[in-house]
Amino acid sequence: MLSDHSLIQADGLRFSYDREPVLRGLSCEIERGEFVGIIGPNGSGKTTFLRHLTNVLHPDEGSLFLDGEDYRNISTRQLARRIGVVPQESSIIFAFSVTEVVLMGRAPYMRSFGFERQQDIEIARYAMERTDVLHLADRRMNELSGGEKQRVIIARALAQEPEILLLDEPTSALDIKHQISIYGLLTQLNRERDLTIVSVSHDLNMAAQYCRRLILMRRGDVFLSGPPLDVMSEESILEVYGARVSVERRGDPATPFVLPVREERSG
Amino acid sequence: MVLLLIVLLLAGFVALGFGPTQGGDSVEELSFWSARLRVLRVLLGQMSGTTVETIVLKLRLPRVLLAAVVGAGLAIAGGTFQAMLRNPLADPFILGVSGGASVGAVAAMVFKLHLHRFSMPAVPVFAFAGALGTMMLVYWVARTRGRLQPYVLLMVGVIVNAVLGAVIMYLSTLVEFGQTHEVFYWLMGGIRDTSGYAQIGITLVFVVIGGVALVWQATRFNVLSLGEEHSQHLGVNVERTKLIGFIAASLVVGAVVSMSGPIGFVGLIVPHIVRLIWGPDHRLLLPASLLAGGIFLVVSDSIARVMVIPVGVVTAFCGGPFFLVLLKRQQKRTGC
Repeated sequence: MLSDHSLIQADGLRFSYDREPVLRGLSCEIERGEFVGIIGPNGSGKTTFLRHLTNVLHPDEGSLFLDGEDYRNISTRQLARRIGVVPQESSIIFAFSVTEVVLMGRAPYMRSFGFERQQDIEIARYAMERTDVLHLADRRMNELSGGEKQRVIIARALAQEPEILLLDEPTSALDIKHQISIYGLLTQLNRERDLTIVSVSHDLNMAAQYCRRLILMRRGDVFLSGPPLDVMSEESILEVYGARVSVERRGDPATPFVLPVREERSG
Repeated sequence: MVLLLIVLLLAGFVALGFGPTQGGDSVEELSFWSARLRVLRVLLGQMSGTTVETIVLKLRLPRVLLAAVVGAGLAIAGGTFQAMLRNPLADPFILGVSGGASVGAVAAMVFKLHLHRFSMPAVPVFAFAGALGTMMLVYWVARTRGRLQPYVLLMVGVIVNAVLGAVIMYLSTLVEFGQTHEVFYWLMGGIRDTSGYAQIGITLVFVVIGGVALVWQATRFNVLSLGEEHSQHLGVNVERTKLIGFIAASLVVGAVVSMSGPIGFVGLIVPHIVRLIWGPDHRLLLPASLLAGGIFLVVSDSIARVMVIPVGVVTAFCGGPFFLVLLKRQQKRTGC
């Protein structure tokens, strides 16, 4: 590491909606160039943590640093130039074209009263090329399939020219083919452009296949963190999810596979 | 883009040329072109001192100008609320501002309030006060934890509108028999002949200032129409944008409705028509709605004047079917 601090550093984050604590002293670090998957059961605070990373929520206690800078000192606009976000689903009420949506990724760089400059258009084009949606450029968003839409949203996030890409269950609405292609794309972006990727996922197997590190969350804190092979074990899944599974190793290099174990109910 | 605006401006000018010569009280029986020629001569100052000049400059020009300003204001406010509330059914009256204006106006008529001392016409002033009061009430109620949530805003607007409707009904029962017509006519909405240039000027100032504020936020309205969290991810200060949108659009609606009463359909349909033709980019949509709204109401009001019917009837009958046809064609083309 060139610098002495991590790209993202969370120290003892506490947060509650109303009175229900969701984050209970969460601490973790994410280094530049990592591909991290955040996993954990429903309500363990994954999405809440992600919303802290995007400055949508602010911690009640604890602090959060981006490249050594306190989040509280970073404006929404500044942050949007450094972090691109791909949410779970996007509902778009007006018939914006694909190009228009991707160009909105340039919003954090734009002034009021103005249209995109040639440079913005080129950046958007490049982002569309990377995510393989250039051929859809003139189509309307509401004509696209779920997989295509998600690629467009990733292109929009890339047009922000971010250092970090945050994804909240980016493939939960997609079929297996599109899941593979989205994760493949993310891997490529991570390797070729040194883009730091943090992805929240419910799909343990997808996460284990593609992420180089997993953060397993339990009740608002980090339970385990490390390479997929270390994090995903029958014991840890039982402990955190309360579910009996069998974990197998496959492939070379080996990656863990989680298989559900059928419970025979008696009586 | 610039070309579109020029075309719209030109169309607006032609429409303006139409208005002054049409009408039940036409100056003379003239052919289409000679009537227009005469108006042109008046506007160029070649007919000073004639009856024609008086009629054109004192009666018809103000009416056409007011129609343009009112239509422009309603359309840009409608387009704004549709983006801000993420609801294509939103119209300028959805947040209760027009209800407030109506209560103010009807109260001024029923209680015979006047502002002779300030030499101001009572009805528009009280209507505007009612609009402002409602705007503040809606904002105060809808604001939760420093945020304006679209659906809360919508609900508050609908309820406030309903309550104000009841107030208007109650006030109407207090009206003396001879006044019923006046109250009823105000509530139907329309461009009236009685407005002077000063009042039109004040309304225009509100529409221009509000319009500039809204176009200033147009890039952010684009992002905002994708959803609030998306907007935050894209670096937009969501609450500030909504607040500017709410205040600017409400002031425009308040100012406009105070002069004309609530005229339906313009603010709902014009932004949709513009969107169907030129797409949903608010940097284009808002200024284009402004101009198209002006044109639409000038034309509608000219028809209303010739046929002596309320302009709301014309806007509904022209706008409704036109919109449906466009929508149908759009559906055929995109299949969705």
